[in-house]
Amino acid sequence: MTMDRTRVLDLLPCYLCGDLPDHINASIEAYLDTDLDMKGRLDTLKSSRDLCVELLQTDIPAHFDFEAPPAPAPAPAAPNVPATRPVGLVLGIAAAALLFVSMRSVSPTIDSGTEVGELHTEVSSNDALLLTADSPMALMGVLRDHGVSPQLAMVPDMSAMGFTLVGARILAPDTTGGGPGVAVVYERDGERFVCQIQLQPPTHGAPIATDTAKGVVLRAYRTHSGAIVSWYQGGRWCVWGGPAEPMAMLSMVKMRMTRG
Amino acid sequence: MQTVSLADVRLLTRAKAGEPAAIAQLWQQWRNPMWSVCRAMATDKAHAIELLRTLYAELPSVVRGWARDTSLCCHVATWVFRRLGAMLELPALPSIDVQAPQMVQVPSRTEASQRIAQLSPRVRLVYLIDLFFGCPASTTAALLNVDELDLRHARASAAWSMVSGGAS
Repeated sequence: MTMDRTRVLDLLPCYLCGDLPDHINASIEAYLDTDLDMKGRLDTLKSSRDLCVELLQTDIPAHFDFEAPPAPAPAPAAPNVPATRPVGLVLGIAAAALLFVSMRSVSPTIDSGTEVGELHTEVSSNDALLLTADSPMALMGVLRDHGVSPQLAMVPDMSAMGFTLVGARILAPDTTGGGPGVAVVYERDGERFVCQIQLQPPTHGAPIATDTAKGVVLRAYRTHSGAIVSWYQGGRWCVWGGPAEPMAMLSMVKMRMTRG
Repeated sequence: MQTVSLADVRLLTRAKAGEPAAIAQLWQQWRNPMWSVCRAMATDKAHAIELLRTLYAELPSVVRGWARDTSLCCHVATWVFRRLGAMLELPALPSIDVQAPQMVQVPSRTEASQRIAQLSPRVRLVYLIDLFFGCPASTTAALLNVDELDLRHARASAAWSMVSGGAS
C-alpha cells in the first residue's frame, strides 16, 4: 500500500507507539525513506516522548508506608469493579505481613560484575533465544508484542558507533535480581556487546572505576570476559557489557550519552 | 495479536488465587508507572498519594477479574485509566480531529512540563497511560469499551501538542 503525506502525518504518532499492523508499518517506513521532513518529525516525536518519560518517571518516595491492602474478597469480582470489603481480619493481617516482608526484602541475587558478565556471555552466545527485527524501532515493537513494558522495551540505536543490532532476549526474573528485564545484543568487529535494561539494581559491589555523564553516575566492573558499566536513568537500570577494558567501556557509555 | 508472557500468566494465576507474595510482586512491578501517572494527573503530591493509595487498596480485589489471555501491562493500564478517570471525574473520551502542526521541535524540559499540564485531563491520561504502559490501542480500546480510533486520535493529538513549534 502506498501512502500519501497526509495519511502518514495521521499515523506517525501511532507508528511511534509501535502497535500498528505490520503492513501499515512497512508502508510508513517506505514513505519515510522518501521524505526527510517526515523522518525529522518522527525523530522529534520520539525525542519528545523520551523527554516526557524522563520528566515524569519518578520512583515512589522511599518513605511510602501504606496501610495493608484488603485481602481478596472470597467471591470472584467482576472485571475492574471495585470490590466490596468484607475483610477477614486474620487473612488481612497475614496478607499485610507477607506483603510488608515481600515489599522490603526483594534483594537482587546478582551482586557482582562477574555474574552480570556471565549472563551477558550466555545471552550473546545463544542466538536461538533472541528475538530479532530489522531495526531498533521494529525490535521495540516485537518486545512490546511479547508483553514487555515500554519502560523496558528500549532498543538503543548504536549504529553511529559501529554496532550492528543482533537481537534481544527477555530476561527471567531470577537472572535480573527479581524483576523483569531485557538484554539487547549488538555486534562490532566480530565481538558481541550487550545492553541490559531492568528495574532492579544489577550490581552492588564496589566498582573499579566511576565516571559521570549528564549528571548520571557510571560504575564500571571487571568481568571474566571484559567489563560492564551500570547506571540508573529514567527509572530503570542499564548495563552495557562486552569484551573491553573497564575504562574503554566507560568511554563508550559516556560518548553515547553525551553525543547521542 | 498480542502475546502474553508465561511469567505474566504464572504471576497473574498466583495473584488471582490471592497469594500475598504475588500481589506484592505485581505491586512492585507496576507501582512506579502508576505513581508517575498519578503524579502527573493529580493537583499536588498529597493528592497523588491519595490516588495511589486507592489503587493500592483495590489491587488485590481487582486482579481477580483479570483474564489470563491479556498481558498484565494492559490489565494494569486499563484499570488505572478507568479508576483515575472515575476518581478525577473525567468526561468521556472525546472525538478529536487531529491536526499535525506545521512546524515541530523538541520542547525544552520546562515547555514539556507546561504542555503536559495544558493537555485536557482525559487526553493527558490517555497519553500518560501510553507513555508508561504502552498497551496496544486495540487492546486498550477493547478492555475499556471505547472506540479505538478515538483513543488513537487522543494519543496523536497529545503527541503533536508536545512538539508543536508554531502554527498548527
